[in-house]
Amino acid sequence: MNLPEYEPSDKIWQNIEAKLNEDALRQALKSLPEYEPKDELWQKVSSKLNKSNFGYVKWVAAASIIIFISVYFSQKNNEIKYTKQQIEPELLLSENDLSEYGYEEIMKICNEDKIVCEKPEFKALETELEELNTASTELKEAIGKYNTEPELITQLAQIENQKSDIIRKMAAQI
Amino acid sequence: MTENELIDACILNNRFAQRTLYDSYKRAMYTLAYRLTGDFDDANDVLQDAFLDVFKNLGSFRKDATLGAWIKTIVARKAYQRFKKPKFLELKEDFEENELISWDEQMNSEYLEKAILALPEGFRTVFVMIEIEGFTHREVGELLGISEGTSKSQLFHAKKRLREMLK
Repeated sequence: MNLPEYEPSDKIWQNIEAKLNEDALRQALKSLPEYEPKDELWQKVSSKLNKSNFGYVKWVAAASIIIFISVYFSQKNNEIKYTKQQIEPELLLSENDLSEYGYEEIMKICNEDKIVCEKPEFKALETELEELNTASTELKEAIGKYNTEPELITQLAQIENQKSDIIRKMAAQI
Repeated sequence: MTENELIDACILNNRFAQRTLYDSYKRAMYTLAYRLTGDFDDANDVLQDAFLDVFKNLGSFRKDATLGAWIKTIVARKAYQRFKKPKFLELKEDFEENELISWDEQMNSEYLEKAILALPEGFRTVFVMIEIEGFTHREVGELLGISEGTSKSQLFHAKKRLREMLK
């Protein structure tokens, strides 16, 4: 069976010849000289890296300050919440704790005339006053420095008014 | 230390690692910078700028090419950016892609080096990048902002000029 044969294009050999021809050039290029930079060049690179890192640190520091200021003011703004609370005038605490002054005066009298102070009614009032004092102390601790809970302040005012009533009753018995 | 470990240490600004990486590539990159610029002082400046870029941008090295190829691209780009754009001589004489240029079997590498450095800027840039450094025409086109056809044409004429100089 005589199957046909095919002739490759002339371009194939031209391509092969071109590649073979280039081999001489490729070999020569492989043996081209190499050059070495002077050692001073690394010193320059290294010092520039130090400067750029210092610059980086400066940027980080600047960014930290900006973040700190932003957070500070955002929190500060959060603190400035405006709420309007209505407290009945009679429940407001007086600036001077007059009840304490009155209680001290009563105790001075009791020390001079103990008979009145030994009466059960007077003793009951004294016990009630001590309980109110304990409640008042605990409430003051709960309120803390910033007086942020209006309900607690109202309760404290009520307790202080009750204390004043009791001290008035005690004074009336004397 | 593996190359990956070296890269990680360089990213963490470990100066010893940075020096090690620099020492590994300095000869090849300095030689490339010299061949592209044709001047040792200019090659120094290119190498310095290139390695500063390498250390600043090592974190973005994606490892889809070798580290050497990545640094080589930075050096070539630095050389190209630093100096006035090479003039890519547009010769009226057309070229046949497979036109044969015959080379002597025994070529003196010293003469060859001098001939390469004496080539016009555009011819030299394309010849060095493709024939010596192994870039493709597409890569050279992207890097230099020229078409692949221009790159091929510049390479052909560079070889032809070299052949004439070496006769």
